[in-house]
Amino acid sequence: MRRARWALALGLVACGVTERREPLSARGEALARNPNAVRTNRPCFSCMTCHAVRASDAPDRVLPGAPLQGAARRPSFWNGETLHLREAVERCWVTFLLGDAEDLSGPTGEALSAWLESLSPAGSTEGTAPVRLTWPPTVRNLDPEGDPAAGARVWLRACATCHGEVNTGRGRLACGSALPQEIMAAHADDDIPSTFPAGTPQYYRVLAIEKVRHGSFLGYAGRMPPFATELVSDRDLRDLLVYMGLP
Amino acid sequence: MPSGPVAVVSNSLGNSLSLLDLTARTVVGTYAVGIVPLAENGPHHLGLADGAVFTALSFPAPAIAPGPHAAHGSSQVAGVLVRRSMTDFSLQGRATVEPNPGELVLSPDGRRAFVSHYDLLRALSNVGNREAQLSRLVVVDTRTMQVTARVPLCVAAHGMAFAPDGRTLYAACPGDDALAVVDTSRDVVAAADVTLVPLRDRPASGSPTMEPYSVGISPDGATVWVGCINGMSGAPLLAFDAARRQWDSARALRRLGGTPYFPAFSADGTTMVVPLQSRDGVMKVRFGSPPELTPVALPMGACTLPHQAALGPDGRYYLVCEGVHTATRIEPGSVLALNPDTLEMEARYEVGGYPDAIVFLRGGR
Repeated sequence: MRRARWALALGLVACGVTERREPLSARGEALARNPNAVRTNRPCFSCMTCHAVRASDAPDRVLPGAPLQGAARRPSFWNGETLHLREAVERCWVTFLLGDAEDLSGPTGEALSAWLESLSPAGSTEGTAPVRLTWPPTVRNLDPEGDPAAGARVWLRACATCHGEVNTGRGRLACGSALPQEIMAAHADDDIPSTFPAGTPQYYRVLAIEKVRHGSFLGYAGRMPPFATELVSDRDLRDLLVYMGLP
Repeated sequence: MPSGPVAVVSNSLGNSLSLLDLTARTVVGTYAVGIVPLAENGPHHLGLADGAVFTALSFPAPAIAPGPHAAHGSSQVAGVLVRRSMTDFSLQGRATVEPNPGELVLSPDGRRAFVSHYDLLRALSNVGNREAQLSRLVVVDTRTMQVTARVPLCVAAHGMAFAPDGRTLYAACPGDDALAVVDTSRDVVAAADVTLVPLRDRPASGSPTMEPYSVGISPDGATVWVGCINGMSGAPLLAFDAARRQWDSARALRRLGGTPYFPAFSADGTTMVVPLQSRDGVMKVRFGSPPELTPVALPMGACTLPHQAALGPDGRYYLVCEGVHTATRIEPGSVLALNPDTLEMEARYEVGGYPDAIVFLRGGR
């Protein structure tokens, strides 16, 4: 049923029901930009926290999500992990926005679908190719050397929107932690695995690497999206860790 | 979708299904079926009904080397039964089952899915408490995708198969050295519907010596063949007399030259084809007194770790080969089409990582 409704939404747009499409599309864009679009008591992200319509729209930022232009006509999403736009959107809607998957079966889903369709007009191939995003499944043993100045630039482009200033968190989103201080404090009482010497920064370094690469997935908590190696290279990550004081 | 016979193969490493055109002898495509981002989703066994394909996702334990079977049986992450359209593989429904789903079978009418759980972690974490060791049989309504029953079955249940009567379900119980016989005739299956028939006088309760793992039923339903993955003199293929509900030790097949996995039968029931691992190959068993056993070697490099044999709609046997899947090396698995008489290889399909099961769409679309 959910699939049918999503398909119906796409169908309405594709059939050229202009008077319906335009308000729907505009509503979809408004939803995509609204962190309160989901019915949760912990609103934080909107779609546009992590996505741009075109990569050129956010030249100063590293966004974890793929550009949305052309997305409705891509053959696959999430680096090929899913073949269906509905499933791709649901992953974000539920995991990062903390929304209810059923919302995507109703007017909200129809509106978002209409907007994404409007960004993928017939005849244009712009943005329709699959986007390669690589999330290594295991932690790399990164060289502890790094350039803190370069790391500061990575922080500003990739981290600051959600986490604010390093250490203080000033200017962060409501759901963004002040890194690395709050994370280190939160985990101070945890049972640190015996493979990490107690009181050393190595554990927090591994935590940071895992969070950057895997976000809230692979058993890690929270609602942070993962950053692929195409967006934050291992070199960038190394510099970032030094900047964060986790060499 | 091809118009002729089609096979669907699960790739348990790589989160996908492969679609094979058995007439053109080509791989039509490989389709993502996972639902959890970044993770090995481990699609294992398969079922087809009502224009949909069902597969149980068996997630490995997180933060370990990737690979569902590297960790098969040791995950704490609940598995998920997913229903996807056979038209475009879009998600039509999901049901949370339990950690480490093992086998999935559909009732012959396609209305219920039965999922066993090869939950070694549960077995090993509860030594001395048999009730807590028992894995559950989860029953799902395939239309609503609602769980209708969670029934204690046995320790670390795995392979299952329905009898031709459509009511009796057999499940191999590696942790108990037993076969579970389940009467599914009631709408809601309950614990009272399960009868455990151990190899000895009592269930091994987590200290097994034979570990029955795979199940195949003769077309007439008279004999349940149970492949073991352990044994003093090599892993045997045991015979279970369905009518008498007891093991028939005289008919057990031993010293097969390898570990037997999921077998297939000729339509007339006179022949059984058994995949063998360790010394990769197949054993052709021609039933008689005594049965005639013919080992068949496969072409070099064509099949690594034969896992399941199945009789295809074209009369050929299809052999699912796991391929190489170690912590440091993964190579694609394969499916071989075997001549029904000689078992010579007639075609080879390269599929994804660690293929685990094959099912057929007879007509295709």
